[in-house]
Amino acid sequence: MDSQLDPAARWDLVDEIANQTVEYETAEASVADEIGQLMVSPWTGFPFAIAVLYGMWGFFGAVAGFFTDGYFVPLFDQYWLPWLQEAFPFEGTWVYFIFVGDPAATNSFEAFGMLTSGLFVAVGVVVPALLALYFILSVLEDSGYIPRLAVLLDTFFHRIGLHGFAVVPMVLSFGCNVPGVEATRSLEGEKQRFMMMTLLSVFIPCGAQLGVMLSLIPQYTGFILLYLIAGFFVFGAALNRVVSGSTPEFIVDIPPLRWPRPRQLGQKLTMRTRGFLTTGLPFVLVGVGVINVLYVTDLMSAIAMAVQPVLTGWFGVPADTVPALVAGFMRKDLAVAQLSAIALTPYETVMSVIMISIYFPCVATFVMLIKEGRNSGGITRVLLGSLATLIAALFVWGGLFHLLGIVMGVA
Amino acid sequence: MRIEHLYWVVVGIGLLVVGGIELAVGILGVSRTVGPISIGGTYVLWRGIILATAGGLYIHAVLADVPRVRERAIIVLASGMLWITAGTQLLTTILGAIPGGAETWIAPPGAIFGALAPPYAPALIAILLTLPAIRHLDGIAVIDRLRGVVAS
Repeated sequence: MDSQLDPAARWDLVDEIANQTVEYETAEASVADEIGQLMVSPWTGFPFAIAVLYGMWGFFGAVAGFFTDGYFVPLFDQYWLPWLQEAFPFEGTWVYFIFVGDPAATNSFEAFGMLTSGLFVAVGVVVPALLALYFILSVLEDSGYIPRLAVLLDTFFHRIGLHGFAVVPMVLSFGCNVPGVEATRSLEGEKQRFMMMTLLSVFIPCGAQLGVMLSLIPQYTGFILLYLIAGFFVFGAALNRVVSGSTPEFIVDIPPLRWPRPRQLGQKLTMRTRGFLTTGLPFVLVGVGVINVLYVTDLMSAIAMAVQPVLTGWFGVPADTVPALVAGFMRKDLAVAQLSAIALTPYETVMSVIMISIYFPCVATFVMLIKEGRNSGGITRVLLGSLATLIAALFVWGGLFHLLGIVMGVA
Repeated sequence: MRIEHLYWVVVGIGLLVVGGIELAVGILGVSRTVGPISIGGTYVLWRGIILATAGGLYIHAVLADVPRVRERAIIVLASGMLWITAGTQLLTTILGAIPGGAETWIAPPGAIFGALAPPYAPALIAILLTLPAIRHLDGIAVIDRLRGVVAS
């Protein structure tokens, strides 16, 4: 071919070749084609999306609950923890406290050691959650549904400087924030990744927390969730104005709907899970270790003492909620469960749960922010930016709720 | 009106009613068991929304003036919503029944099968009503083969 052709002549040549080699014919749309169209049409797409999200959470709850509550809880509480408490040397020393934690603890969550709570949270809680979420996400990806969901929701996300594919980390975060933060790497641009990581870790409650909320305070859960999602979009719009960087336009090639192939699903699941086990797991263990150092050095109780006046003054919740808020850094679901043991008014209950949700990400999410922050503008930028956002969210969004409570006469 | 259209209208109205009841139950925070049907539990509000909208879609598919292929697609989509809901509930029931605690680890078969006994959520019962939608599915090897067997 003559490489000196000008662009117009080159396109003419392309057309000529195409006319000689490509045959065109009209074909009727199949049922699968029509279903694909219905999935991106708002009137049919949104109801189907609700069913898919319901199925996703239901699958997550069933599979993660099967492994965590059915097997890992008894395994850790009745075998691993008692054995470690007996066998680990240096009882009564700081080494024992950091690695094993409380020698009198009867369950792995309360022990607070790296090899007890840390291992339990990482292996017993996060890994089953990841397996379930990665599997369902792979099914949705391979079936061609995710691009359709992205198109359906693009209008909403575009208002806060993100695009439709931001729904993937958001949906994952409703199961567990860890894979949600990890999934932000699929977003284009540092601005989008930073914004999404921050908003997820502050405003999106994980599946475990939602489950506990639904079982302990079902009458308030929907309201709390709505308030948090509203905060997600309000602070998203604010971050979009504050954070520098452009918002890329959303162009996506929608593939045909297909049945996922088990072999490819298996490969994806293996690759993603291995990625977490080799890079994420050590971060979680080290994170638990760091918290224990804060406890050993009494820094944690100093933090609790320092925040107590703010809790009662700005947010209108009693000082009794401090231990639950501190525990929330380990597992937010159990922090909510701790609240149920405290005598609180309905307002105090809702306010405390909102605070647990937005005041700080759990340790596993926190270390994932550090890990993913390296590719999203740097660890310092992500951590400081997330910290600034959560402080603003906590005081503005939490304070606004307190104000609403005062105006309504319930606070 | 063709008999098939009448069938989907009746199913759609039934689902609208049951979905509305589930919605009310979810809003009121109560649960009810009537015969083999149990309405209540976690996410009942969402199941109500899904059932009611699936019912609405069935009615829309046959009453709206849409091409035949789109009508079939809407019926399959609405059925898919019910299959997802029922499948999730079935999985939750089965996986919840398998662990037998630290002593036995796997519950005895009797206990696992016992968990599958009634009462059932409305979505699980509605599955039976969606079976005619399978004939609209194309390109699934198992169904194509079954269709071939039936035709022969």
